[in-house]
Amino acid sequence: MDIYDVLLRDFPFLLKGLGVALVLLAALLALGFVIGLTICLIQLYGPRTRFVQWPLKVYERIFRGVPIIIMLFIFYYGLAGIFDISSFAAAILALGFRSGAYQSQIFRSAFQSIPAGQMTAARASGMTLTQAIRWILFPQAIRHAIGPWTNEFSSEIKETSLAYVIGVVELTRQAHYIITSTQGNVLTVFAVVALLYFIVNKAGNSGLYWLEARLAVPGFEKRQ
Amino acid sequence: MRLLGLETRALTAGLIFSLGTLGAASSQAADTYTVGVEASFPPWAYVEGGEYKGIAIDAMEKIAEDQGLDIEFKDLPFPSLIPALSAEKIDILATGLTVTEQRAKVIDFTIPWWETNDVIVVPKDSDLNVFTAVCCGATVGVQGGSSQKAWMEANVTNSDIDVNLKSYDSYVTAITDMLNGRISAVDVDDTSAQEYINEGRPVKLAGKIFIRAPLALAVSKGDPQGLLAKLNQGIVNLAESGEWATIVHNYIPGVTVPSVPGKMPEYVDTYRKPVAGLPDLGN
Amino acid sequence: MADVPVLRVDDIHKRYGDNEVLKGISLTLERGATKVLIGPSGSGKSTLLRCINHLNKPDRGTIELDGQRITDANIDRMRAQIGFVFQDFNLFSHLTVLDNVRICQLKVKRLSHEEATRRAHEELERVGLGDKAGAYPAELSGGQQQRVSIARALAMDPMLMLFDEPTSALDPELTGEVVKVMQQLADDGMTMLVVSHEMGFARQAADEIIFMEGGYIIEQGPPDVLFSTPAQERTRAFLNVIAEHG
Repeated sequence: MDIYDVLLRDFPFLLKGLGVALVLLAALLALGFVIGLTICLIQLYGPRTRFVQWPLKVYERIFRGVPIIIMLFIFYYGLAGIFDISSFAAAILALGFRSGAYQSQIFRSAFQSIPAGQMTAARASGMTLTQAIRWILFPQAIRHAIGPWTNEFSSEIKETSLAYVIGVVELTRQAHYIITSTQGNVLTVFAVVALLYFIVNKAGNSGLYWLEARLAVPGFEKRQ
Repeated sequence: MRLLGLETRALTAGLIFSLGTLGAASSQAADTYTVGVEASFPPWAYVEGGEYKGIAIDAMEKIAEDQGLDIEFKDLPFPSLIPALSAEKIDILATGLTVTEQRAKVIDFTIPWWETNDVIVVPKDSDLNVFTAVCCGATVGVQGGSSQKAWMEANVTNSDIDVNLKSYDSYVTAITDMLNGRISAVDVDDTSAQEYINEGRPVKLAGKIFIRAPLALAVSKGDPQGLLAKLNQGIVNLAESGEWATIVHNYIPGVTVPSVPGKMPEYVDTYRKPVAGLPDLGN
Repeated sequence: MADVPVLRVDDIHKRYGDNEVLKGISLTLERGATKVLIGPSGSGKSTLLRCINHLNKPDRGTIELDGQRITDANIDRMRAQIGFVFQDFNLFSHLTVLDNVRICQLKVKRLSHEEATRRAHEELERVGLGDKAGAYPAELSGGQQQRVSIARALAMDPMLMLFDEPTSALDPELTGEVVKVMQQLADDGMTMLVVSHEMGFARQAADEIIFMEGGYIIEQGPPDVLFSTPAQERTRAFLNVIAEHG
């Protein structure tokens, strides 16, 4: 059997690995979105006391500063004594918490780029803080954030390939299986894998660009 | 705005989904034992056509059947396996695992079921021999966390022999790198090396290092699940029934199967009398 | 009922660090009255306006709207009844003109979609921008944006309108259209408190001029009296400066 036959035969497993990577990606981005948005909102509109703000700063520093492999190990092995956690869940948490630290920055600068007067105007009309954020600031911040968020999307796809170190059998690991069971063919197999990652990245970016264009209104033109 | 509303809902669904998987993680069946393998380590364990295969996989399944154990395999990269066993993320480690003094301190070994010697592998067209391949500024590839790496560090790089070690996450990558000319030789166990040659990779053996390294299964330190006795008995039964030789020859035709149990080094606590499950054995 | 003023400001103090900006301000605004606050920059006019609806919270003193004291607990409900027009318009950039005027009706007053749309069109007609409903703020001139922001405030049916230098950010040729709308509002009987340097508007529309300086109200009175025969020397000096530059 030459490598192309093997690739053809095992392609469903590569797709399965891709599926695992995509679910991991979606889950970590969703978790990161919620964490990032929450941190950003507390930092910008929450209590200004050090008691609240300082831990958030520490959180950001830690998750942006510690290499992701170490985070994966900490979440997989480190939490073993506290509660049993699957490889996949540990990967979602480690990658999602870190993405949250990055996304909080994306959202913070997005919210900060909205003129402060709009919040004042919303509050002056009787909106609560929550209403003003939900109806006035959030829709604008999202428009500002899509560009940088696209970068985050692209970089997190690549990070999912590291989850194999704690036993998540995603695309790269499936590729590894083919390479080791056929003794070699590193280049051919990884070329196929690279193509799959490229397609996902391209599709995701196109989707986000479409969303950006779709949401564009005068004053929020899509920036190239 | 309606569009954004939809998006928020989709994200919430995604989060609920991911929390769901967290919950699912902790509700695994309690009496199924997780067997950790490095599934890119032929002929011991690998995945072909989506299925686990290899000597360790087949043998482990037979042993489990013989001893009435319920098992499932979990693939982890080699450097992760021992930490996973220490953290009790897996219950049994079954791969081509060499017994070493250092490892014996953090995990408990079953009786040895195999014995390997290390070989120096070079490209087919190379004129290096075992002495010229491991000297004179050469770079030798090993797998990170492997016993070959430990042996090279202890006996070669720490002496005045001028050799650089390069670690890889798997031997297959190391061989590929060697064939690309990045390193001149790879230090690997003879079982794996034979596999590469059988597969038709353009490599040859430059020489053998007789270390008679025992290979064994392992469980967490202190054997919290009480598995050691069953595994030891299972290994002996497997060898005595002749199934062991059949499995091995299925993957490495023509190889001489070492006697079971193999050499049992003194530094391993679990090899002192009485050996779990096999009270007559031991030193 | 008739003698309860729409707005009663009593002894308001406000300090930023060492700088006491308001040093005890009291004033009342009867229903339908228009009062114009004038004074040099830094005299505390804008701060006073922002203290009334607690955009800046006063350190001391009380504000009553239609006899009801404004507190932290009722602030959002009170603000919904006070229209505020900013120097910088502060339109919501992601919303069309129509949605700018509708959104607070929908979210704060919880009016039906039809009702909010009807009121929005009414107010846009009133400020002369009926044809701009579908435009976005970035597509409008400064004068048009300010008129939209007035419509946005009016659509909430406020009992009081506060204007904080509504023409200061506009090019001179655009102030006229905004002043005209304000003039019309005053004629229609809206209760208004205006910080402005538009002396023409003050003279024509105001029932009373209030001159502030250094955190105090120095003098107040009907425009014809205050402008022609101010009682205080400081008022006179200020009016001279305005006359020279304006």
